[in-house]
Amino acid sequence: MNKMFLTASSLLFAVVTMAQAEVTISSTSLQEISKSTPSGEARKTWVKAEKIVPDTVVKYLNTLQNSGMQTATKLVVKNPIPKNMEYVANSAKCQSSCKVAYSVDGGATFMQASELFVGEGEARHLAKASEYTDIMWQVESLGANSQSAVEYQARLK
Amino acid sequence: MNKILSMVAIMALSSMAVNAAGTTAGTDVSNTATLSFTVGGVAQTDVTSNTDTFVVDKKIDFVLTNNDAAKITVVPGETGKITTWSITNEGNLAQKFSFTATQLTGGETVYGDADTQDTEVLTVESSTDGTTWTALTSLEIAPDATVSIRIKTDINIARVDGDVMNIQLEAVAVTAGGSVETATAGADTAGVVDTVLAESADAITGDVKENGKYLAWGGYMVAAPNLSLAKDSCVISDSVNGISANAKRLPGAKILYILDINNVGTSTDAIDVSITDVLPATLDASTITNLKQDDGQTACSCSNGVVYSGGTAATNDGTGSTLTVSGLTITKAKHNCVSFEVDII
Repeated sequence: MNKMFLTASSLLFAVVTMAQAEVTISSTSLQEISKSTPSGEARKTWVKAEKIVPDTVVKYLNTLQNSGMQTATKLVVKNPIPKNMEYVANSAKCQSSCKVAYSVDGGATFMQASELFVGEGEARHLAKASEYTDIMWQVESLGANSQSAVEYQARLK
Repeated sequence: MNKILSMVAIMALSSMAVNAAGTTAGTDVSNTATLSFTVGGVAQTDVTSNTDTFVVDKKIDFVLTNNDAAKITVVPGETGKITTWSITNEGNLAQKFSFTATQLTGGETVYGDADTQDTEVLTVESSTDGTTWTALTSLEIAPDATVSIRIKTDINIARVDGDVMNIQLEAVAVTAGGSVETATAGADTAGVVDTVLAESADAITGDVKENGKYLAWGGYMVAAPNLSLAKDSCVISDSVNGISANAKRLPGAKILYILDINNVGTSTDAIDVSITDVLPATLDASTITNLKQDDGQTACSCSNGVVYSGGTAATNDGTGSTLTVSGLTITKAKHNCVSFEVDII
């Protein structure tokens, strides 16, 4: 009996360990540039963010990779907006369906944009996108051996 | 909770206020995300992403402006006439600029008037307090800072009313060593502060955007009376014909003199003008009468046998055969007709 219990426990631990090890998230910053097509037409495309000056908009792409054998569920990605950057309104998206919420208190609480207020008394107002401090995406599931992504854009102050 | 939110908002606003020129070049901006999830209903250990970092590049952005809103009015011979300018560093790092003032010579229009003449030598000066001015060829300006600039020049005595002397001030972004700044070509060098030229085009001067220089125009316009003087005479009467259109210049005849002071200038009235007329010995200065001035006329003329009827009485400040009238005004683009009668000896 003890032997069977230990074996079952070991298997469960291995599965969890495998799941932990094989669901990853990677962050990449991109910037939009114009490129000319062979026909001379200007076309905008996102490339690795490198030449960044104030007012440049950067797209942050967080790629979720599940290399494991089980479906990961209730995925929650939290991303503090970097210092010196301000969130671009309505730019938070995800590849599949998800819910997006925002924080104005450094990630302590998250709410929908329509429910997020700052200030007191007469100064109380619906938080502006530039006042957001963190973004949270809630993705229902990520199947085995699959990939998804969440993203947002922010402007360098 | 609300208090905490307010503090966050205030901190955010404060950060923006002190950093209007933008995040300082060389600053690292890093992004990290965390992921939590469950597998089979069991919460797993959070996963942290890599830290994506880029370095903020150097944005060279500035505005050079002539602040006069109109051409500076001058008169011929004036010295030290000043046009005022300012430059603001809108880039994200302290930037050195060089300055050059030149005469516009292509008939360029500034504040509505095309260039027609040059001023004398142009001297560029700068001031950080608006009081102390020093000669300027180059200057380092902090982000967000504005420096006042002025150009001093003299006006050649030969300039006349309506002359337009337009000038140009050029500011060029330069390195600490004085070389002209250029944009880093091609792709970014990772981890290194590259240079991006971002100044705007100028619609007035035609200066193109993002070339590391800025042109601004200002100018001077001469607004001065431009006087000419002509003298004419008619015979009012003689001892034979009396007052008549047929009166002749006989001894004892009464002559009407008209001194036509014409202000050709169209911008400024001439004031406090004096006029002197030394009468020849053939005229009896003691008989001078009906001395008048008549400003605002379109012309001055006389006719034989006709007494000058217009104008107001004037005073002869001269003595003997010298007639002097002072304190005259000649309205711009008009004539002042000074008239008097005198007898031939």
